Amino acid sequence: MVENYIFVAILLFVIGICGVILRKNIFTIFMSIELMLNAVALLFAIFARVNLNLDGQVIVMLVIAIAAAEASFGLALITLLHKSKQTLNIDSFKELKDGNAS
Amino acid sequence: MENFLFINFSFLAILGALGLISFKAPIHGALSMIVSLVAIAGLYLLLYAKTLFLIQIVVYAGAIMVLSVFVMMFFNIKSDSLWAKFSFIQMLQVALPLVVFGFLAYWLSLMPSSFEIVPDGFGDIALLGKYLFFNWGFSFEMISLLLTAALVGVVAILKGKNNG
Repeated sequence: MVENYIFVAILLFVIGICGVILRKNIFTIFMSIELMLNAVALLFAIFARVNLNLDGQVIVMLVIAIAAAEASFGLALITLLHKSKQTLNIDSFKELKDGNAS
Repeated sequence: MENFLFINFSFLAILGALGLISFKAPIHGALSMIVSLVAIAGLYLLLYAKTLFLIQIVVYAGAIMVLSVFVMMFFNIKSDSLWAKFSFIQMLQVALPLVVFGFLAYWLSLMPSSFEIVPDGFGDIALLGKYLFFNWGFSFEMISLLLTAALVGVVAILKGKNNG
């Protein structure tokens, strides 16, 4: 039974990776990252159940708090970028990669 | 019964995740991801993490995703398909995690698999709160500092330089 739970968590993580790689919409990439965070949190909950230790569940709470902070900041950043570029395509946002941001 | 619930919840979680990466409009992806999050909350409940079930429903599906959907509604998103071009590099990048996934699935099949009986009150709010307070107090305070920093940062980037 343990390996079935771990299998689901890994499958969710791989789907999140595929979403980040294959999609160009910045919202979908953002939500795929949230999905990967969720998969890792599920893995921590599984190990807390296996070892009967509450450390894993506490770490899941911390992960959810970090996801909340990331969501607020990421959405604000997306709003700002959309205001300056009028697009949601990730290929338009290459300032940080090129290093010649105005 | 537990197997039945596990199969249903995991099927819904994976289906929601696949919908997230395959729907064209991001708003449909967000709604499909809420299904996935609620199903993951059900998996938490099967793992005796009752507090996490509550937090997942209230904070994740309730607050974070509603915020995301709300922000998405600000934009007039054109329904052009924003998929990546299927180049060789792109397929290689997708194939690598799939290969790693295959190895992990093989190793998982070799694992011994049985859950032990849970002690009384495992995952309850009172026990988890006490454990959080006595063993993870510093991390908890750092998380509050992080949230404050995120709040200040959001206000700074959205209000600070752009109105001047």
